[in-house]
Amino acid sequence: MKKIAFQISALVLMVVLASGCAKLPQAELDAANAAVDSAKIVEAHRYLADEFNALSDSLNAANVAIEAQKSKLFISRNYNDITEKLVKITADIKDLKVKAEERKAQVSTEVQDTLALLNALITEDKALLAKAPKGKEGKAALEAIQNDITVLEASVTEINTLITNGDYLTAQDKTNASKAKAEAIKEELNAAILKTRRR
Amino acid sequence: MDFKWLKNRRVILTAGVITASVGAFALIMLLSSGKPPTEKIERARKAISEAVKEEAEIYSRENFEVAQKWWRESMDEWRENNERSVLLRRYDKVEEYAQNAIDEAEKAREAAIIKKKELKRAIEGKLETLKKSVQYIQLVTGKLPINHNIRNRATPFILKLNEAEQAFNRNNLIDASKILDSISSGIEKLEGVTSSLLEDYFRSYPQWIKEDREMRELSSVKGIGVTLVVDKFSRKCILYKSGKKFREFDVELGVNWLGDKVQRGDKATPEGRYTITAKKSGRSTIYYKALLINFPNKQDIKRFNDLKAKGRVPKNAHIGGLIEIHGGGGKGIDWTDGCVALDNRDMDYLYSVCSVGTHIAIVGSLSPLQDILK
Repeated sequence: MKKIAFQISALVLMVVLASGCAKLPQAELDAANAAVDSAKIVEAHRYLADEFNALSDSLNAANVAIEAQKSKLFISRNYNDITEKLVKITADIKDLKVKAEERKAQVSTEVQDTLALLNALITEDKALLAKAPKGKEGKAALEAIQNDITVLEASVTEINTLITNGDYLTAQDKTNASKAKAEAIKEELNAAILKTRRR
Repeated sequence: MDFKWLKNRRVILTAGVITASVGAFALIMLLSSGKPPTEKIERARKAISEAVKEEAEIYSRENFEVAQKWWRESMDEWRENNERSVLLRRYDKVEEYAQNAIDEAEKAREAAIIKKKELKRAIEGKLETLKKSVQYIQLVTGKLPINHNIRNRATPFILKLNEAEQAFNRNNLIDASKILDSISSGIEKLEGVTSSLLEDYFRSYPQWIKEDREMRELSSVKGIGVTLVVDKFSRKCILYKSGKKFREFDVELGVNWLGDKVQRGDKATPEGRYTITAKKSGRSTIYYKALLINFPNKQDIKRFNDLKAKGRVPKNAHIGGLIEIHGGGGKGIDWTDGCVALDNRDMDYLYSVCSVGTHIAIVGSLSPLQDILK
């Protein structure tokens, strides 16, 4: 009978220990942290800030939930929901990383396209400058426009550096700004040429 | 049988005692460990999340960093406690750090909202002001020969201003603000230089209007015939006949037409009252046909001598001469050395109606500065 008593006690202890030894989802937590770090590398926090912040907050919430479970008595700990959440967060961050890379590539393509337009406009401006009315003093008046073109060419160099450094958003601002100026020069030169033709 | 029942009862009792002991132990542990700080930590997390939503890490960086530091410390403290035995866990510090994180995160959030609103308003205002300044500079450089120097200086500012607007449009207030700060004073100075040049020039406006009126009235005097007024700003030559505007011609001027002629070689078109002193055509002029005027007149000579005396022109400078109204124009640009050029067809007409002695006034503008800048 003593044996039976020991068996029952052992069973109770085993049940208690089995239920109290819920496994901490360390691997899932590490995976989620690694996913956040890799998303940062592709600048997800810059290109898709809201989504990135929401997922970072979910990860914080998961960390809180883990500690909340750890605060409980070992027999009542349960990490099942947290594990599921961490797996989902990791998957979502990986998706976000892909989206951020796509967005970055899209901005990069837009910048390259605008830069190509800007370069074409500069070439066009130079050609128009050659055709512009000169007269005796053409040199002085057209030198001012040539100076504008030189400023634009310097801006193109800066844009290329920004693209090389992967700073596509700043490059985009600069490219759009320079394109607007190149278009204004083209308009100005066309107007001057047209004015001469009319006369 | 009875004895066997008794034995079974003892076994169950023993098992029950063991189970109850485990239960009691668990209960004691649970009661002695204190309430976990989950609620407060959650509040701290949410406060930080709200601060992030308002971009506190950008617009209220210092406060936000402090909030995050407290958040990390509260989590670390919690973790450390959780590693300890239930009997040794104390969550007071966790709660305190979490509360600090909440306070700082709320401060950061509020500061970020205010800063963003203020910055946005400031940038909008600055963009509007600087755009107006640039428009003014562009308007003036588009109309005046002062453009070369001012335009060269303005172009990099214009590019930067466009860039700041682009950054602002994609809600990058910090970059937009930095760019605007770097160009504000430069644009303001340039606008000041442009403005003072124009204002100085337009001080003679009442005199120009007077001369125009006199020319118109003179054209109605018997025996005078026609009179001419050259309006440099509008690039027009007005022909008055019998007290009325009879015809108007487009003209081109000297490269540096703004302001009065000072000395030979300055490529400025003189201002003042003159008369035609000779008519040239054929081989006597290289500009198709020409009407020579009496520049320098007495007033021109006096002004030149005064400037020389004040040292504002070099001692060896010459006043210049040979100012004509001539053909060869229609280039669409100011190109002469100070003369007034018309296209040959207009020159034919003007040549036919003018004679030696015809009165001519060359003025800066017949429109007030405000109208020009509209």
